[in-house]
Amino acid sequence: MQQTNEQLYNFGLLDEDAKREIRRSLLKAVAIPGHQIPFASRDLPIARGWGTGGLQITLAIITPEDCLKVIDQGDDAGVNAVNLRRLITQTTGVATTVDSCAASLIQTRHRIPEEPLRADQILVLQVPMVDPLRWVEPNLERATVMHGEADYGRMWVYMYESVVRAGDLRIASQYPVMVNGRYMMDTTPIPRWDVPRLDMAETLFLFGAGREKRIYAVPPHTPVVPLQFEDYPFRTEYQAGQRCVRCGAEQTFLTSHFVPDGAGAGQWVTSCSDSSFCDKRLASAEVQP
Amino acid sequence: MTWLLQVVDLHKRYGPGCPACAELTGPRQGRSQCPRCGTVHACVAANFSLQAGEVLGIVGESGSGKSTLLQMVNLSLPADQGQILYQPPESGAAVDLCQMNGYSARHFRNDRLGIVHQRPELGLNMHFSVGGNVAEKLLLAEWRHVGRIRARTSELMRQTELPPERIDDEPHTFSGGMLQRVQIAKALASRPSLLLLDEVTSGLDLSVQARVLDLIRRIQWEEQITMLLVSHDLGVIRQLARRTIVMKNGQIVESGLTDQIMEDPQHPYTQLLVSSAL
Repeated sequence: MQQTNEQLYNFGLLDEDAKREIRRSLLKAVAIPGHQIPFASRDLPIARGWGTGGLQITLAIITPEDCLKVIDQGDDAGVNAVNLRRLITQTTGVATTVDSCAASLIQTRHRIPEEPLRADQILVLQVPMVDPLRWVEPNLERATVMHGEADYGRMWVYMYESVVRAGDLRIASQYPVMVNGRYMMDTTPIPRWDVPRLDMAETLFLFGAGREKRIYAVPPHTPVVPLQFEDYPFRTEYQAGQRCVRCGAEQTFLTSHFVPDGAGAGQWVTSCSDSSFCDKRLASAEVQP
Repeated sequence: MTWLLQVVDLHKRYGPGCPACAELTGPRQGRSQCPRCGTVHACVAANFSLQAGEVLGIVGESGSGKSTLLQMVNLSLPADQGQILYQPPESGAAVDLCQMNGYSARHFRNDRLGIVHQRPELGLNMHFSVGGNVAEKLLLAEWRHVGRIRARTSELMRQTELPPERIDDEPHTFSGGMLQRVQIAKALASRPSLLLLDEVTSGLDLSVQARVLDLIRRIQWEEQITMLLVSHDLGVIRQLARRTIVMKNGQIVESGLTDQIMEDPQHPYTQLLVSSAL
């Protein structure tokens, strides 16, 4: 009997033992919010650094009833998103969507969708850098002991030095946060804009780093507090007066790009990073062009 | 006077040990390494207590086990056997520090202990500024206001005779004596109940040594801070410590008032130390 390509693979590409191992790590990660759990990151038909950690989590937890959304930098049509979506759908056959509200499982790189997520949704983030202590302690063994003993003094000095040398908390990305008052966690997959949205959220956030073989999680209703000082509080990238050139939104994470005018010049414009949210606003009546 | 710290039958060895170890090692045999099994007995049955506000000196030659003992008190080296009892000044209930897990030990060390290492690079992070190094202790004590942290750091720098205007300079631009004072400032930042000093004047020239010792004496006088001082130099011990313990080959061979030990040493090794110091 002739088999199709899809039938040659197990549901979700990974073998059941691999999925079970990842699920066990996920359970541990949910039980200890912010704590990095090692897992045996499998080889996949995509290169390390292209989202293999997030992909393995998605493939381990996805069910035939799920509705999947994959985004890259907030964009549903990004190269990474398109390829990952194609791989997942070809090996699972699940439905896909670009609507954040309609998805039950969202895999993302660099962004949390603008629309508030619900308790029945799971957000899987692809993580490039796992450990916030990497800046102050490159030795993994010592960093692990530091996490175990909650020895975060050096990281706080790093923040202090940032204020002293730059006059403010000049940490553009990978902003460190304290999860549940115990573990320090790196928010490397998301911009500062999204950091406050991790705090006491309704949704389960799962973080997977394929290259570094680590999984961690922020369960629903977990306090996530960015490192900050009383006189130098944490701030997002928000700039008053900036708005999306397409839908006019101001209270969203905006990305800027150069639009040439054809005469050798052009201008920088900003637009919503979350393309699905922007399209929805454009289609709705509330938009004032 | 109430005791702050009591060390009871503390042991530390490197190696498996054998039945012959007790016979073949110790001050009488003149070695701490067992010739049969190769085990090094760095600290054997150490017993002493430290009163609140007192300075206790530990003196001995290199390899006598004094730094091992200090590291065990600092909770950075686990003891094989014995107890380190700590009685907080604010309450009478003693706790055994050897029973603490890594997390509790870390917090105890941050809150209650200060240490000045022989080599500044062990106690300071050379990639951070001097102010950042001193501020680490404050940040660990939940200080979260940069302005107040800098004010307290400047105050500590003045107290330890360092120029506060160099708060943002990196440690490698400081001299050896200044780095020892930076370590002292850092150790004092959290107002520890016990300050541990490990060969603080080794490697410094005589005039700088004198300044550092004067500084420690003044701080002890002003703050009435309890100190455990380790040195191979009896002169340093004589200047600072009220009581002294003499160690040799991992064992305490003599202890008593410093003046008494200096004037009437009982153990032959102590007699040798005193005569060589004179």
